[in-house]
Amino acid sequence: MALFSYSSEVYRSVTNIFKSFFFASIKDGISQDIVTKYWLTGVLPAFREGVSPLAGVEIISNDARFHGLCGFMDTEVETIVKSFLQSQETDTVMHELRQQHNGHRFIQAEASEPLASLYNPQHVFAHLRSLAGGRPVRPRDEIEALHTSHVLNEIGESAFPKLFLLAASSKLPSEVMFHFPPREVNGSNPRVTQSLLFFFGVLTYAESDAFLGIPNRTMQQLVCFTVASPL
Amino acid sequence: MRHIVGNKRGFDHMQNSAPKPLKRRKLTLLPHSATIYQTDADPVTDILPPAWAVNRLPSLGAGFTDLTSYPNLIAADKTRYIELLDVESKYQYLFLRPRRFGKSTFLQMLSRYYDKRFEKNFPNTFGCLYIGQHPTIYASSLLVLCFDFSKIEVSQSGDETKQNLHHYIHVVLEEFLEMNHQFLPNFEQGKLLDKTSSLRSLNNILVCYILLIR
Repeated sequence: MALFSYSSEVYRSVTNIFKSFFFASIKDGISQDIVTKYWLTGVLPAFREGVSPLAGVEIISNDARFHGLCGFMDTEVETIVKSFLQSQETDTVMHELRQQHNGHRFIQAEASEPLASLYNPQHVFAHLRSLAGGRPVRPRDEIEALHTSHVLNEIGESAFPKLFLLAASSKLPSEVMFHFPPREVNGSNPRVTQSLLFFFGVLTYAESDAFLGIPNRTMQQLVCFTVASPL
Repeated sequence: MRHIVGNKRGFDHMQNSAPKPLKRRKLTLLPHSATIYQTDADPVTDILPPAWAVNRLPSLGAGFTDLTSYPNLIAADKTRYIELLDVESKYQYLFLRPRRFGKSTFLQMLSRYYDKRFEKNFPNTFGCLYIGQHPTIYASSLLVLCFDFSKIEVSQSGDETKQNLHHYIHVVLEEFLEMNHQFLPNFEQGKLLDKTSSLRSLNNILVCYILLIR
C-alpha cells in the first residue's frame, strides 16, 4: 500500500530497507545454499523492479502448469454448489455464479489448448452463504471490501474510461507488462495501468487471447462505480 | 507482501459457538471430484451447535489447518501443486493473483508441509490429502522462516515505517529461534539477536546456520 497511498519518499525508504538489507541477506542465503525454497506472494511486479536482489526470482503466475494453483475451476464450483446447497436448483445458481464470479484468465493459452477460466473462491463462498442464509446476494459488498477500489481511485480515474471502453468492445490488446517501474503506477502510462488492472483482477485475458476484457459482472460493477464516482 | 500468514481469524467471529478443531478429521472427496472434499463430524467427540451441524464453507482468513480440522467443511485440496513445485530441489518463485484467490492459504500449506517442526503431525495434517498419499522427499525437511509484511503499518513518516518493519522482523526472528531450538543447538538468542538492528540479527542467524551445517 506504500506504493499507492503515501509519498514516494516513504515508498523509496521502505524499498531501500528491503533492497539493501532484507532481500540482500536472503540472496546471500540462497547463494550459500541455505535458503533452498523461497516463495513470495502479494506484491506487484513494480516492487520487484525496485529491489535488485529479487531479480533472480522467477514469476510463475503465467506458467500454465500453475494456472489452477489459486482459484476454482467450473467443475470444482459445481461440486461445491451441489454439496452445499443440496435443495436448490443447481443450474440456476451456476449460471449466476458464472456471470458474477468466473472469467479470470491469467495465462495466455496456446491456441490448441485453451485454459479454463477461474472463479474467485471467496466471492463464490460469499455468494453461496447469502443464498443459503436467505439473504440477498450483494456483489457490491464484495466490491467495497476489496482494496482494489481504493487502488483504482489512487491510480486516477482519468486513465480509465478509454481503457474500459476498449476492454468492453474487445479492442484492448492483451499486453501485460511484468516489469514496470514504481513511478509509472500513477496512471501516466496506459500500458502500465492496464497491467496493474490485470494484476488486480479487473482486467483479464479474453477468451480469444488477443485482447484483455473485464472478467465478470462483479468487476464490471466495480469499473462502473470507479468511472462514475467523480460524476 | 506475504511469505506466510499464520492467523486463524477466519473462525474468530464464531469462537464462542465453534466446535473444537480435531487433530485429524476424515476427508471425503465429493462425487466426481478429485479436489473438493468435505470434513466429517465425529458423532462421539463433536457436540455441534446447529450452525455447525450443516455443511459449511471456509470463511475469509481461515487458516490452512482449519480446512482439515473443523467439521462439515467443504474445501479444495490444492496439495498436488506441491508435487509439481518439488520437481525442482531449489526454487525462488513469485506468484501473483488478485486478492481473495487463496494465496495466503496456499502459502500456509507450503509452510506447514516443509516445516520440520510438524513432522510428527504430518499424517494428521496431510494424511487424507493428495500430497499425504504422494509425499515428496522435501516433506518436513526444512526450517521455515515466514514473514507477512502486510502486517506492518505504513505511516506517512518514513522513520516510523522503518521502525515498524525492524520491530516486526525482530519478533519473527525471535519466534523462529524459540520454536526451532531443538534443531539449532548453541544458537544463543542473546548473542544472535540485536535489538538495534533486526537485519543484523537476520544476518547473524544465517551465518550461524552456515557454520552449523558445514
